[in-house]
Parts: sequence; C-alpha cells; structure tokens
Amino acid sequence: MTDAKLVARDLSVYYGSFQALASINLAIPSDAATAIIGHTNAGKSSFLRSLCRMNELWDGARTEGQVLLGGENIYGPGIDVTEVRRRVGLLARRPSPFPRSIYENVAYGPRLHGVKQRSTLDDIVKKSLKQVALWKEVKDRLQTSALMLSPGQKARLCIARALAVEPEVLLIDDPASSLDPISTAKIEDLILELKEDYTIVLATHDMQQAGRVSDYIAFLAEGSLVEFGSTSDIFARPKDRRTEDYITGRFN
Amino acid sequence: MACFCITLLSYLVAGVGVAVVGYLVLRGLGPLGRGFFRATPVYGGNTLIQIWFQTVRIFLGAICIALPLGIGAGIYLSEYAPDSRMMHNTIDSIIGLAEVPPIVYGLFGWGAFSLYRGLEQVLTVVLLTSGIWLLPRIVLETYAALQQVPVSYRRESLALGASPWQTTWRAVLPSARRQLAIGILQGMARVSGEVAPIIVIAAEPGLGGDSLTILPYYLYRSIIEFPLGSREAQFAAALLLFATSLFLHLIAMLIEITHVTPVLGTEYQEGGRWW
Repeated sequence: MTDAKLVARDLSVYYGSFQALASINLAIPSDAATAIIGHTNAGKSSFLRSLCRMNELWDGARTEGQVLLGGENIYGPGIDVTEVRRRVGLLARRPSPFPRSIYENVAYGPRLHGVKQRSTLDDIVKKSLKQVALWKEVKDRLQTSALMLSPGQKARLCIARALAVEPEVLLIDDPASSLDPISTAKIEDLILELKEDYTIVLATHDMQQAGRVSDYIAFLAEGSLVEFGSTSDIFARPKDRRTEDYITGRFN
Repeated sequence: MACFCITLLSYLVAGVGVAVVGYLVLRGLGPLGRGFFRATPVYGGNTLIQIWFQTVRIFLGAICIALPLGIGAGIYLSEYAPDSRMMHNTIDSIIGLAEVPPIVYGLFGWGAFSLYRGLEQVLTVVLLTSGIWLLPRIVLETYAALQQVPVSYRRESLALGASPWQTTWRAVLPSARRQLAIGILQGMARVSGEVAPIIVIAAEPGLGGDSLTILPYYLYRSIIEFPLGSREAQFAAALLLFATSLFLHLIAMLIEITHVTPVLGTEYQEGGRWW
C-alpha cells in the first residue's frame, strides 16, 4: 500500500443524538481511488463530508475524533477550514453548477483564492475543462449558462470546478446517482484518469462501479467500518460475512 | 356558472382600473404635454417639474438611508443569524412593522425627530421618516430573495474553500440580485406616492410644513385647501405621480420577464440557509 493521504482516527459523527459514524479508523492511500461502499444510511456521505469539514454545516452535526491530512489533524486548533476545503474537494451527490456561465463556474474557485489575471484564469479554465474531457464540447460556448448543460456535462463541469482550485484529494459522493449509463461511464473513465494524480475517495452503493474504478474498498454498515482492503481482495476473499453478503447481493 | 361570475368580476375590476387610469391620462396628459407646468408656478412659487424633482430627491435620499441598512439586515438574518426563536421573532416583528399603516410612521417620525430630537427642518424629518418606513420592507425583500437561493450553491461555494462572507458576496448575492432588484423596486413603487406620513409631519406648526414641496403633498394640499384651484395642474400632478410609480413597477417587470429560466436539467432545489 502507498502512503496514507488521509487518516481517520476514532472518527464519530452525530446528528443530534443519532450516531451516524462510530469510531471509524481508516487510512486512505494516496494517488489511488478508494471506494466507500455500503447500503443507504450506512454513513458514506457523512464520512466523506467529515473528511473535509463540510459535515459541520449540517443541522446538529457533531464530529469527534481526528482526521489527519498529510499528518495534520484537520479538526485541530488553529486550522484554517477554508484551506482544508480547498485541499480536499467535495463533489456533492447532485452536481449543482452556479447559475452563471461555464467559464465563470470554473473560474469561481481560482478567483476566490486570489487569481485575478485574465490570461491565468483562461489557462486554468482550459486546463480544468480538458481534464474532465469537456473542453471540446463547450469551448465555443464558454460564456453560455452552465444550467443549459446536460446532467452528465454538469457533473463533469462540477469536477472541473473542483479541480481548478488544485486540490490534493477529491471526494466524490455517488457520482452515478442521477446520471444515465453513458454519462456514468464517462465519469468512471474520468476517475480512472484522475486517480493517477489525485487521491480519490468515492462513495457508492454500486458494487460493479466500485469494482471498475477503485483500488481499495471500505465497507461501511450502520455507521461502522466492517472491512477495508484492496478491491481484488475484497471481491475474492471477503473476511467478514456481511461484506460477502453485500457483494453477492444478499445483504438485507 | 361560478367560472363565468369570476371572469365577469375580473373584467369589472380591470375595467374600473382602466377607467380610472384612462380618465387620469385624458385629463392630465394635455396639461403635461403642453408643458405649461414648466413655466407656471403652481404651489409655493414652484412649478410642477420643480416639485417633481424635489420629490425624487427626497425619495432617493430615503432610499440611500434605507437600502444599505435594510440589505445589510436582510443578509444578516438570512445568512448569519443563529436559527433561534429570537431570530424568528425578529423576522415576525419586521413583518409586523412592514404592515404598520404609513400614518403611524408619520406620527413616529414627528414624535421622534421633531419633538424629541428637536429637528426643525421639515425636509430632514420627512427624509428620515421615509427612510425608516422603507426599512422593514427592504429587510424583508432582501431576506426573501436570499432564502430563494438554493442551499446547494452555498455548500458548493464553501466546499471550494470560500469563506462564509465570500460565499455570500460571490455565490448568494449574484444568484439573488434579480429577485432582490424586483422586490426593492416594487417596495419603492408602493412608497413613492404615499402622503400619509408626510401630512402628519407637515401638520406640526413649528416645522414649516407649508414650504414642503413634494408631489403627493402638493396634490393633497391643493385638493383639500384649494378645491377651486386649477384642475388641470392637479390632474397633471396626479398623472406625474402615477407615472413615477408605474415607471418603478415597469423596471421591476422588465427585470422579471427578461429572466431566462433554464429548461434542461432544472431540478427542484431546496432554498434556505447553509446549515
């Protein structure tokens, strides 16, 4: 296993009195794709959000434990939350571009972080859109509204927007939840390419998808980590009965 | 049958509106068009156009007082105030304030600024009172406009490393500006022709209300105190007042109809706060 980019230590998440995650200990390898799998309400999205301190925006959410990003606890004192969120990009389940032009959507992040020069912004927008294979489709209409794009294009635009702030980690929440099979396939190809340069954590309930794109799999059930291992190991030799049942579709 | 009755009633109501406006235009357009108001003093040595400019000046002054305060308070209540009972009570109180009849604001302005603070300039008192009267309306319009912005925009912005203020300034306000402009313009249009608070203030003898040259007040005085005065000038003034208010409404409508609703991939998105 390569070095761990993100490490969760005794990570617990509560919403009011409800415990969504219970003492998760997990080291996420760098420059690889890790799939977080589990049934609905297993805590996949909460886990992803707590890796970039977005969970605290949810009503009544409380996080305990540590998340180490490059060895530094992002829940520690004196941590700049905005910098954590820049380094760890989160892509929400439903891609939601801002109601402005395609160009402005991608340039939004760099502008936040102080990039003002037009030529630099142009370069960032072009590079980011090329990374998500959207450049050819939209290069002639960069100034049109991003809301007019198809759902698949919107999803890729949101990935481009996240890449434009040069994150180290990309957290992707259920990328296929609202997409047709062709758009899903494009997103999966994209993840395969991006994992060469970025640490990717993907929450999904689709085992086939996890098998196609991930190098490692973590299986969550009812807020607890059941099993973690390489994708081939999890598929070939699951250690826990619950993992085996889930993979074979017997999970109830 | 019920449908027929409702249709008939709608036409009747619309007909009355058209008749009133039509009569106003018929009687007022001539005097306005001839431009005689430019030369002839109609009230306190001022021509109609001078009175109109004075009205616009006072109105803009009141907006300058109310707009920054109102928008600031609306942003705070929508984006930053803790979601507590107190916040909801505050909003309920502001709704109550916006519903208070304008004449009460006049009494408040007269009491607070003239009696208590000893302000002696009628224009200053009118300006401050109008500003305060506009304030709750602008707070509510701002709050409502910001609440319509999907919460996902706020979360997407924060997830890219924006601070809460950057999110408000760069993601929320630009998404709400159309709604904000419409709400504020409509609020201004409703206030622009209002005379009640001004009458209360001008009635205070020490303030020199006689010298007050504001279009709605002029209209009121000329009709009440000089019933045999020039009807032509009165109709011209009424038409001018109506046109001013209509102009603001028209801008709001233009902003509304030029908004292109995206057709593809439009999904319901929850509005509200970011937490």
